[in-house]
Amino acid sequence: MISKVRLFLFLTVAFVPGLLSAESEEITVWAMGEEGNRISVLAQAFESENPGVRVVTQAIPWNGAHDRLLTAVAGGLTPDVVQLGTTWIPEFAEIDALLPLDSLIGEGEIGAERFYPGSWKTALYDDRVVSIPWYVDTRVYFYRSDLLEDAGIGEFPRTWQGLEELGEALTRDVDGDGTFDNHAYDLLARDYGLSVALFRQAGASIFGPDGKSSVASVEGIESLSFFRSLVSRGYAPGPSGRQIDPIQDLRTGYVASWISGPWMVELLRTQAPDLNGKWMVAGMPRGRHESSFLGGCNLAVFRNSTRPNLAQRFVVFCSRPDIQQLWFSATGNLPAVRDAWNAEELENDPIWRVFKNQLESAEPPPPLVSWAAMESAIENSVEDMVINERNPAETARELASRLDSLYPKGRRGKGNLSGHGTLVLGGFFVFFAVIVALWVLAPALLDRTSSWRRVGVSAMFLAPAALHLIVFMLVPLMISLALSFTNYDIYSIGDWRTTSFVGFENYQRLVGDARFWTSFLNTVYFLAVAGPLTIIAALTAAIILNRRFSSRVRTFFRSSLFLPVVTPLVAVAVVWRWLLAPQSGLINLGLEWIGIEGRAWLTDPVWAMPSLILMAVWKNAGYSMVIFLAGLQTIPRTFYEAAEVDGAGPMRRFVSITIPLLRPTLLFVVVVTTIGYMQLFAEPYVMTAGGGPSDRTLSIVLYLYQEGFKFFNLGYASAVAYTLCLVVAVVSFLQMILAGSREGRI
Amino acid sequence: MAGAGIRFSPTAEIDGRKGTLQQVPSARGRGFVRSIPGLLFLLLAAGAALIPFLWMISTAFKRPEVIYQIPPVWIPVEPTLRHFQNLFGQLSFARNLFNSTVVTFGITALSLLLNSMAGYAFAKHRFPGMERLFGVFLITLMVPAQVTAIPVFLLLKKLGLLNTLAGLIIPAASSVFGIFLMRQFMTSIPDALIESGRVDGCREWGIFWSIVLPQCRPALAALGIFTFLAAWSDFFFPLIVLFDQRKYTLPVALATLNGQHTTDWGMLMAGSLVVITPIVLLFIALQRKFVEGIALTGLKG
Repeated sequence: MISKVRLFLFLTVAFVPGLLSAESEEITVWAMGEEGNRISVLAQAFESENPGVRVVTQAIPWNGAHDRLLTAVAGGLTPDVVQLGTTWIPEFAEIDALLPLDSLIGEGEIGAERFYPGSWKTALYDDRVVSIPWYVDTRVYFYRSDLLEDAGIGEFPRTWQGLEELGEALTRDVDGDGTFDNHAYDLLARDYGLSVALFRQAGASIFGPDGKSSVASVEGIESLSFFRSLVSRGYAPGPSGRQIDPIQDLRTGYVASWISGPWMVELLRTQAPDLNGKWMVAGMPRGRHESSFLGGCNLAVFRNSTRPNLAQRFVVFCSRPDIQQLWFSATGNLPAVRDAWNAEELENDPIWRVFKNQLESAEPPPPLVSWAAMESAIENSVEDMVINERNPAETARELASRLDSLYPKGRRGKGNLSGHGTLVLGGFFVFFAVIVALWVLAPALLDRTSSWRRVGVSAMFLAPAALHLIVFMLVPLMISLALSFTNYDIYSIGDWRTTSFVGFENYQRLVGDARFWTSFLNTVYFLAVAGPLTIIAALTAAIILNRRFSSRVRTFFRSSLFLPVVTPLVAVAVVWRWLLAPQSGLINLGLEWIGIEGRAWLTDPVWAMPSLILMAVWKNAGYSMVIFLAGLQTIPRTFYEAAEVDGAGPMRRFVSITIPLLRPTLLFVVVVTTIGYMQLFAEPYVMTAGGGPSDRTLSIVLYLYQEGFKFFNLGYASAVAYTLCLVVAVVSFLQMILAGSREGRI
Repeated sequence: MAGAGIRFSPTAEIDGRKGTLQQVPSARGRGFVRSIPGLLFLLLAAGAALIPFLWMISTAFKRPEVIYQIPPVWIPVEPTLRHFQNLFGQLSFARNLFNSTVVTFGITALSLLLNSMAGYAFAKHRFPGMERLFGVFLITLMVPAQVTAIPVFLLLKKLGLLNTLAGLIIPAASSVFGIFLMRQFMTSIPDALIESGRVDGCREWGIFWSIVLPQCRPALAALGIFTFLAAWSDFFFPLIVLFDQRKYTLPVALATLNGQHTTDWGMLMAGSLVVITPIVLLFIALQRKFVEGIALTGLKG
């Protein structure tokens, strides 16, 4: 039993790894999202088998988990055990953050034969065991068995050829308007898992043993052609089709099937009870080979763990068949261990049997440190081919060269900062600091007339904030400025000495970086549309409100319009994601009601940005409105009355009185809105899964954030930041010049 | 309610419109008719602004089987508190609420003090190099906050402040925006007032504390509100600084409710409601101050 005092101690200090006294054995486990909230089930089971041991579990939001883990490694503050998405393992293994677990195999505690082959592959990096599979997911077809039966098809096809026949049989133009109303399946171009599976089914691999991509081989081209033909023949709706939501599409019969993972079983059962008994799952049809995507999560032990033995025991414990079954019943996540599948609920269910069979041939993506960037490359190429009807051979060649360029170049040697790394970069930093300091202090040093006593008094007031800003703002800014001239990246986190000074290379790379320009244009688009819309909406509302309304009416409207401004974006984003949701989203339901067909707003390449714009206007117009309202109230009413007596109409009064007198306010609102909107970040970060679809909502700040925290190219990300900074400065400056403000107002 | 023809203004003193009432040809009916299109616009806008909140509230109390019902139900049948019970029972939302409160009040109090002190120095003291220092601070407003995250993170590690609420409060203790706002406001305080204080024998601190600050109430309210909002809403920084679920602030705790592939909307809406309720209550209680404060930033700019 733990005494109350001890418990209190745990709650206050226990979670900082390494601080705990050695009295009781304790490990910390980080897991993501819902899993993180439920892993306590396993922790309790482990504790009850191992008296005196405590397992502290922490849930990390999925949204931002990758960033959090990398910063934890960079800060040397890692937990003992961590849940890692299988595609994240190479990154952490590459920087030597994970403890090799090979010894466990030697001791016979765990072995390859216990796991599904694809799953075991994810446990390894560079032929070393760096993690232990925890749960897996694989993709299968979910189909409407009743629709197939109606068409006289007894079972879901098992081959590519069968897939084509299914397309022929189920794709129909019901109302005869020349477009298909029913499709046989939905194949998403933005699902790299599907593309990778198709490559492998055709016999192409993403990378051959020589490290060269074989997607441009005959087989690779064949697989892309197959994908394109299924879409161009209408068997699958294209990306601009009117897919709304997988469940809704299946319910209406718009598509008779789609590909998804194990989590969908429970979703379908609860969200579409009307479809019960009308749907089934089937393995991926084979081309030359059988293959499907394999994903899931593994558990790994961090090298910094203070209790590596206990941590390893916990990881092994989680792969025990009975514990795997326990985890399945708690969360529905599929066991990675074969023996766990003899549980009754798994064994006797025809649905899970399909998953079980698929697991035999499912394969994970190649374990490469740059896989995250490759994922996007694959999705972008396939989508581009489907949307723009590009030639598959050409697409394959382009994709192959893109993948080859992303292939890891191997561990980096010592950089040119090695040995004196800290010294050189520090010198660099001191250089910037001295220049700024000299520039600021020059007047004081040159000026001999001012009384130093007065300066001392001023300093007393200024010092706390100034020192604070210097430490937490200026110094970090200068460090990142210095970093922008280095190749500081994920390897530098592992070993600082691999960093090199690269001069203006990052800035040069930026000029030729297509993704940067995409993000630039997106930001301009957002600014050019959302900016004027926000200002016009705000000004209109302010002018109306400034007219004759009773105070209560005025207060009501003002507060309603202002409410979105005060609410945290993270919270309102949740609601907006649902309002804009394809199925059961209020916006689509409303549109349907007036006879307009809805869309999958946030995943539609054309409509994703307008959706964000709509939300931004909603969120921000109230702020500008209040400022306008204040500005309007300083305009003497008599001006309008005089103009009215002189016969000026409302428009004339607006142009000749309101606009000129409101100019300072207008300028302020324009500049503030511009600076705010150019730093667009949170909306796409929370609403469109980080800039999707196809980077259509990727903003500059989001791009720099991804480079910095997703790929951890901090040097390059800093260069992006300073470029943005320059652009913002130029734009605000231009606006002030255009507005003819000579008073140096902000 | 006042008739449509009579114009009410809460700030009648500034718009200089005293005694203009009878000069305006605003017969009740005509004024009302003329304001119909405007009223319609406002009604639509207010509806659009409020619907997301109403939907959030409605969903937070719905049973799972009602949530996906089509057509949508606005008033939940058999409303349930189960989502809230989960948040405060199984999860540590009560604790997270407490953390958010501590962090937000800590940041607000510190930044009111530090920023107004610095603003005072910039506005009322003359010393060489001041404009340039101020200029350097202002430039930092253009740099996206994400840029400094890593250096600040490493700094907090050195200071042993990672995974502490202090680690969230201290880096946000002053801000360029806050100093700017206070300076702009304090510039308009007559120097004579300060000089008279000096003549009366006040020390510098006394002048600041008992003469200048009381004059700055509107600006302090504005800054306090802005800081409060920003601190309450921050997601990114707490995410990387806090490791311990019981130390999470509300926005981070809210984000843990998202699954990798699935979303429990009822739970998320209830969580969102918990996150926004305190701030909305605060807004309703202080809404005049909010509006005046924000108007102030515009006018003083």
